Amino acid sequence: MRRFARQRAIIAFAAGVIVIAGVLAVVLSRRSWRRTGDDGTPVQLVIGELPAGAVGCQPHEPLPAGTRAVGLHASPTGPGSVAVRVVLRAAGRYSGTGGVGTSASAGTVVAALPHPLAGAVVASLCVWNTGTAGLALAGAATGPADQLTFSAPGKPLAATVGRVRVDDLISARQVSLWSTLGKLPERIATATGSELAPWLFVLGAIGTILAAVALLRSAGDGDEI
Amino acid sequence: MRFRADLLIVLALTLASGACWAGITPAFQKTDETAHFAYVQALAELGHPPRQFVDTGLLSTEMTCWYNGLEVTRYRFFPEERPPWATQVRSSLDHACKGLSPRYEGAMYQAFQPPAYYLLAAGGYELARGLSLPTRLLFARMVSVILIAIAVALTYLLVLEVIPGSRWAARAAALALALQPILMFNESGVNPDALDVTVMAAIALVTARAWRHGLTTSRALAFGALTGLGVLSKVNFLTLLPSIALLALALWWSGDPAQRLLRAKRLALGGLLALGLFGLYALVNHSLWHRGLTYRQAALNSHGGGSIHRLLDFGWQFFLPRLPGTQPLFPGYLPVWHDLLEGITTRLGWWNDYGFDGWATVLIAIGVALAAAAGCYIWPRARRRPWPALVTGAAAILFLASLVIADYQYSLANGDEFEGRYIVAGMPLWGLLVGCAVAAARPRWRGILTGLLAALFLAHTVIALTTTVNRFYL
Repeated sequence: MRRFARQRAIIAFAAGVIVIAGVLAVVLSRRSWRRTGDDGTPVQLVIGELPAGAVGCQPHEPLPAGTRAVGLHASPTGPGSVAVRVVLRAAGRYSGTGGVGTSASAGTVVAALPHPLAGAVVASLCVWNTGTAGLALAGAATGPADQLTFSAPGKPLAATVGRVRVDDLISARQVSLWSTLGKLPERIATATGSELAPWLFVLGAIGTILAAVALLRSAGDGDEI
Repeated sequence: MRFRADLLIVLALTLASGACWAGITPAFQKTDETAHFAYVQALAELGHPPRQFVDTGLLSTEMTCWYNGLEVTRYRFFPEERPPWATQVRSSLDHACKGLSPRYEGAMYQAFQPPAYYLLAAGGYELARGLSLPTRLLFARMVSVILIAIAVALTYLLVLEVIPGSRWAARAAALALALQPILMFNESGVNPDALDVTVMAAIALVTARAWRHGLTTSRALAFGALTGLGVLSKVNFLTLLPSIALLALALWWSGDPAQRLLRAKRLALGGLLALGLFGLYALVNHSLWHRGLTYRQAALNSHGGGSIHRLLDFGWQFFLPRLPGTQPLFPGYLPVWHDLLEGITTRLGWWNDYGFDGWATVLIAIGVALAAAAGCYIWPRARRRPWPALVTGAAAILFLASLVIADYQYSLANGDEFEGRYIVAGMPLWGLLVGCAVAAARPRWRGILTGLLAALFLAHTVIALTTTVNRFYL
């Protein structure tokens, strides 16, 4: 009777864990744009409108290692097609012009970098509006330094009021979370400031499952006393 | 002997679950952790609690370096923002913050707190001396985790005492607490609440034993010592004192009427011990540490407008829809649902910036179902012997009433600021309720029910953890 009670407890728990693991696997397999980081610019206001055919350049843009694309916080200002190309300057072997990118979701335009970044760089990031719709760029006012500036053929250079928010992406396509899992220990260690933290997390998670199982199958002088 | 093995496993379970939460939460993102850790650092570095009670917003140079470098305020409360992820940030901070002064005489808005918890946390800090400040923070967090593991073990013993027929009930109670993500999120941070919860769990156990086996002198002294320790752990513990007084009254009244005088003497001894502990603290605080005993923060100064009538109205509208003709004090929401129930089931951090609150209705429904099942166990027993259930219920209501009164006083100056985490000191009662729900089942079903509940509680934790990963790391 006692043995059966413990077995049934374990079976019920194991069934629950399998369901949890299944749901977790489905969640991890969902595709979306995954980040390698961002440039820290808060989204506070529209800093300017990038007309069709114009190029907007933002100096000193930090791009982490592993970045293959960027997500710009931008929305079309009217009817027409949305298309951009990203140009990297002063990035050494990573300089060049990327492929055509387009709207990823409401308020974001995703475009591939010319080359995947093997290491972190700080470069001048330019956005070339190759579509027919103007783009309202969202970001933060920064004062005169490091502002994004517009240039268009036959027109003088124009400054905006700040910098556009840039999300750095693992890929220009939506990918599952499985590709991001390996990066979690490093991210946890940095956000907590300690290499000990990811160990605590992983060993704690394993220990929790094992201890729960041990509690349900703990043997001895009986469960009903 | 069996329960000792169970106890060890319960301790291991809570330590593991707490370590998980301590490791995954970015530095200074637990509720009020910056101020509490500043207190720990001041105590460890200066040898006494901080003397600067006015909140200057300043921290030690070393802590400021890490606090700013990890961009704590850039992403706190902003769900779309993330902490820094690049390894270079950590290594450059390791280099930049090394050698900076860890000494500062303040702890923001928490410097006035009594020192019991911080003395323990300073032990964790000392163990990691020589390591980086965030690693010292993790060690201090693990002190809280040890405290909460003791609290869960005490709750296991409490349920074993109250429901002596089955260990499944006690196991389910331990699983309910060790896998309650809001409790574990908060109590795996640097926060004196961890000691509050532990002390309250110990008081509940001592009360149950005294009720069932008699109020001996040692139990009365333990009751008093724990109450004294609670008062020295955090000012919030004062909201528990009415409930503790009620428990003392019940211990005096219950049992042989001829022994009431003896029980009164023993309780008086316990009370003297509690007062003695507080007196000792007051003496050391004044003569050795040169600190004030009380401090009223400017933010708490009321601008008037308070009255008994308004307090009653506040209390009514906190729990129930307002009556016709009364002024709306919580326009657009019901605090008992949004602050209390949603808070205790889904609120990680200060506000719902983790996006976890969508699960609140389901979780509250499960809680209500468990409470109903517990009622099936409690009701027939309460009909035969009503006092234990009545006293427990009244103590819980008194605790809630004290919290609402404290919230009312605060609200006069600042508006309603109630957070679900304030009731975590009553968490042993949640364990007891889950234990009663399991005990309501036939003996042959208790094992399978405990297994199912363990999976359910684990699912709650997994959802909370994935929400946290999504909030900070994706």
